[in-house]
Amino acid sequence: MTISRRSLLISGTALAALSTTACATLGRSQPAASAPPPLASAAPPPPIELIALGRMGYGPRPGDSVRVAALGLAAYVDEQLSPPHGDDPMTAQRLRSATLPIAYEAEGDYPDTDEQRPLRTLDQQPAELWQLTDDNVPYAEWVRPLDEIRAAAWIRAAHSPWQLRELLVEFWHDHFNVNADHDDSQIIAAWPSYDQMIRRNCLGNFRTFLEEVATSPAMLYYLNNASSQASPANENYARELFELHTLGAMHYLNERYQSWRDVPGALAGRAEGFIDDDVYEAARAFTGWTVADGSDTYEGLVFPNTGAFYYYDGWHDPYQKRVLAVELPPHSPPMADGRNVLDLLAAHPGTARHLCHKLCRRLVADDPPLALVEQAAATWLANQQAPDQIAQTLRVILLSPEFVATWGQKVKRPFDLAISFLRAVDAEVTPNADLFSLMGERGYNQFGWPAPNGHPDIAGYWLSSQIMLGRWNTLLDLCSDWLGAARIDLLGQMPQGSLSAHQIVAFWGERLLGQPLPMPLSEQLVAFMAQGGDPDQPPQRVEDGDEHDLPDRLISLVTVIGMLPAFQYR
Amino acid sequence: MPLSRRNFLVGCSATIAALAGGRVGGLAFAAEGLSAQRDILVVVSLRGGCDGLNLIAPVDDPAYVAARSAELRLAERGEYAGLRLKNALPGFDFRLHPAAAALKEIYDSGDLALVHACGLTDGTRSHFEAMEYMELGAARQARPTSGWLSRHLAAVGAPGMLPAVAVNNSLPLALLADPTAVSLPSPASFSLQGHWRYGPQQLDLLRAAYGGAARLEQAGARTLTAIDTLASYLPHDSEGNPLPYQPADTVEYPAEEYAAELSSALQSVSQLVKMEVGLQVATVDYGGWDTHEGQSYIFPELVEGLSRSLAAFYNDLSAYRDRLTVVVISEFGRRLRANESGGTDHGFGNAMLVLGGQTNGGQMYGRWPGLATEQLADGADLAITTDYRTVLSEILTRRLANPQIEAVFPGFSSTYQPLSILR
Repeated sequence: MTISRRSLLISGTALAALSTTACATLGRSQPAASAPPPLASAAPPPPIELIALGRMGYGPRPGDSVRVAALGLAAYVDEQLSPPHGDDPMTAQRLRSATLPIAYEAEGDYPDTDEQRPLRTLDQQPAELWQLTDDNVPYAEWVRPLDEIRAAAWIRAAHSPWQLRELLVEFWHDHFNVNADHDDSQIIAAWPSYDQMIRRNCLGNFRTFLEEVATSPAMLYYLNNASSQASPANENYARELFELHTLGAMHYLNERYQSWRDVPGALAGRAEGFIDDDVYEAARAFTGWTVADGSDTYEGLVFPNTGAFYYYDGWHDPYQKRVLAVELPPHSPPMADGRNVLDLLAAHPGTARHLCHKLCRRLVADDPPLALVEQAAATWLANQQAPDQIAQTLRVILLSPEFVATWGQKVKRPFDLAISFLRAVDAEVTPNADLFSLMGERGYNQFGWPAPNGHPDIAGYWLSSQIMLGRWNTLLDLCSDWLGAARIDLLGQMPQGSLSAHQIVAFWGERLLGQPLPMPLSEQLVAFMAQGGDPDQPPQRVEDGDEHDLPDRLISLVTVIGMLPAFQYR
Repeated sequence: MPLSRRNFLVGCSATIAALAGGRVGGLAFAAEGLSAQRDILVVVSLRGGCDGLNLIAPVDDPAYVAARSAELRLAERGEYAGLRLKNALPGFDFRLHPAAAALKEIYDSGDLALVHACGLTDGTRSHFEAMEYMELGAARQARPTSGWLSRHLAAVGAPGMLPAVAVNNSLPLALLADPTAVSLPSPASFSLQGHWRYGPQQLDLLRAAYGGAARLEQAGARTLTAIDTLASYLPHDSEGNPLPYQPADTVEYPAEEYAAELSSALQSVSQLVKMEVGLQVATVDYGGWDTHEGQSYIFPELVEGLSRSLAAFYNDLSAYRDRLTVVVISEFGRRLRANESGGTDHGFGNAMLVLGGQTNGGQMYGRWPGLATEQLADGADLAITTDYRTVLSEILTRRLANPQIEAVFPGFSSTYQPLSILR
């Protein structure tokens, strides 16, 4: 077994504000007194179409709210739950014409390179990219698929009309988190296919989804199941399969029960939760689920070297196992043990509750109403065999009264904020590696969250001073020419004619916030735009200003509106 | 219509110059008198579960030798020979990982104490639960709504400009609900990157907009205060640009990629200490310890990164040693027996490190429970004989002038027995 040096590290860094905190109250009594102040100040909610656009996606582009208002919420939900296969023509065209630079000095068979290159790997399978894991491939070549998938995610989120799908793809990337940003060439070669797999399943059937994740090379490497063999098995994947992917920490009962027999429901074959013994047994069940990556076995066998999923019986622990109080017989057929574990977990009511809690937390509130979670979970369980199980569950959540009644109880994460700003100012996004790196410094490391729990989805994490400052600086960066991450024409989309400072502020306030700016902030912004001039006249250059003065002031106005509290909520 | 590059770059420095004004000298002087009275605690969290049995181990215990292949354990001699520890726990030849030579020197000098078989007794092998319980400083049943460091600071008060800093993107749960804590990975770049003329005006507009009681608005207000504080206290060049941090002469922080996270975070802490902004508590993370696979490659690098970063930090702050305590903690240890991937899975008992000028160092603390199967927790993991809160409580009472253990660790004070790790 050769283990890639680069594949070894799973960093647990930056694990503050854990997702388990928000889960911890589920199924237990309510939190103690001394509740913190509310996230947002009381304010009238925006119209329903803005709630739908802000929560089922990344906010409106000009014209979207008129269309959704005419359509009505129910029709918009149904539309968004049935996207076509693949990208819409306009987004597809953008993906075809997008480029990222690549430059390096000659190495091995690779000549000197310095070019703008299209995004070529988006539809590729590991087999087509596997040569990137060979020795003597320039670094810029083998890390490239990661940046291409990142760029495509920005373009799709900023431009696709199928906004809910993009939001769900982001959700599932966090749920089935793989850190693709720690210099592991195998994970990166498998990254386009991992993203395709998530796109394919994001509205589909959870049991199908779960097995596609379990057999995906990216996950097999990330949580080490690729090297797991009897015995002792490597328990990394099995543990997170239970704790993060399916039942959730809320059903981890290890502190309470010493033996599997003691877990409520176990003696009837329906254990309500899991303990470490279940993790150990499940780890045995998945031994032999690996990747055809040319590894040598002790037995002298050499795996094929294609980057595809591979089952190797020689590593499998064949004997009987007991998982969630269900006996798995010895000497089962290839992959049957692992598939049985996936069946048990996917069908478990605890998984329904955990997954629906997470979906509600993404779409409704950090601490979502439990009645809504239960209602969604019932739909989830009733549609276990349905190919659109996830879509049907989402429909319940999106058409619930809670969905529209809880506006402002979520704070935008840095990616939401950046995309919603770009959409509000009708920008053309031109993502690049510097942008991805800046976002990482501000807490959003796209496809690079180090721990298996994914980016947090509770406000506490996203209100730190570093991240607050990062919100503000991100908007400035998106409007800068040194970063070059977007093309924005603010003047071109303002009404014709000479607008006064008042009118300019009112226009951009309405555009970004969807409603008039409150006083006295509105007057302060007008004074800023006028810079001492008459607010009812078009703004003039300041005394020592050059030809950049008015454009720079306008950018500063629009960005500071994006920095306001009201633009941070969803 | 992008911001022009020229204006943009000029803007950064001019903004800071405008903010800094002539205030630097006076405020720095005032803060010095204040913070000189208080000790500084730095909490280093090894995220992922450090394998304490590969870091400090009884190399002559047959149960240890039998459980692991040579590359996953320390030995008496040969390629994996550990550094022999004086004043070790009785019964065995305890050794420190050879990549921790810099820490061994500090141990021998008397400023580093090692505590073994420590940890969280709640019986979880989940990263996320273990970190949550440890940082909240109480079992789940106690329903803490704040972190242990937050409760400590509430008890002793938090004067000064920046009493609590997480050198990270966000706050750890240990600082949950602290009203003053800020996250600050790099003090020198903590500024609004706005236009030279309009950026400062944007800050004024934000101060007006972030004035309410909502959590988001409070977070914004705290951020704006931190921006102002750093603009005032950071040393600047003649054009108003913050100067990069310059460690003390002869001090060399490790620059290798595997050390970078800790090395750069500790430099930020050092910078904040020397800025005299009233720092009492700093938290830093060092990730990558979840070695389920290929531990023999990654673990020695991480240990070296830990050792050299801490040693550099300690030398960098030599003038502050008498009021500096560093504690190194990880959410759990790892299983005694290795898996077939060349790694170790989640376990229980682990080592903690306490470094500082007031440490009774040069010796090991704790009670060694043994590694025979019947001595292990669940027959598999190093048992916990010292609650992690014992070590932290001793830091609170002896160094941080906080006798209110019950307020910080509810339900713990009745069982607390100090080990005299600190003076």
